[in-house]
Amino acid sequence: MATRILPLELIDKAIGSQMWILLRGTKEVVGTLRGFDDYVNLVLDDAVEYTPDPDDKTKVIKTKLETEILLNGNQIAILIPNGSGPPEDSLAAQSG
Amino acid sequence: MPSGKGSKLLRYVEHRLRVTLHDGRTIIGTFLAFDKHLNLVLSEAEEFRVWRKGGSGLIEERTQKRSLGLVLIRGENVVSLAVEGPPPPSAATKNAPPPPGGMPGGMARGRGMPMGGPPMGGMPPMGLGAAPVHGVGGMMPPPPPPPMGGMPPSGMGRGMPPGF
Repeated sequence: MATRILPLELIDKAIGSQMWILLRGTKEVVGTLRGFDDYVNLVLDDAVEYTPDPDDKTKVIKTKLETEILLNGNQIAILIPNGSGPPEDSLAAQSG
Repeated sequence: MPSGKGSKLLRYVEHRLRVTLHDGRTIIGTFLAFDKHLNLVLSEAEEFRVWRKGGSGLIEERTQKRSLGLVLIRGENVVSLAVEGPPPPSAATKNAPPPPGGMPGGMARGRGMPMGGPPMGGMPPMGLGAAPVHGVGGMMPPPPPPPMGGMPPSGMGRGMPPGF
């Protein structure tokens, strides 16, 4: 059987580049991937968190996380290599 | 790579797959890869979420669609997989040789028949019926005679002198 590319190899290839991460629920994170482990815990640089505004569902709160962060793999639902983040208002429209 | 149960999933590589996640998301994309955790790689993926809104009486259902592109879905979140459709035309032409779907099988059979059929069909009868039999037959007789012919004389020769 031809060896196919493994999902985790895809993450490995994405190290050093931007990654768009959809968490369980509505939160999303975009950052530069520095590293990961078998649990898919991620270390991100220049991370930005996108979360719908609980008071005004048409707005997205964008939070810049100043330092390098460790993102727990438990919360990660989907990884999008080279993703630059949610298009404007996509989150807001979702939760609207 | 995955084996056993995995090989059944392998047959759907390149197909359009609908993946349902724990949080209610549905992702539809072209299935590229998976591992033992059921982590999935989908290309040209689209996300669908159904929103039920309106608390009092009126419940409005909205489906929100987003294009995500190439995505990796964590196996932990996967609830179900369903085949949405056959491999999209673009993927089929692009990746026809490597995938294990219909194309490779057809290719293998195509190559195998021409190679195996004529030679196998023609040679065995020829070889078994004609050449080998003749060859074996021809070879066998010669060896026996020499030993047979040689032993008796020698034995006779040795035996005779001592005996007498």
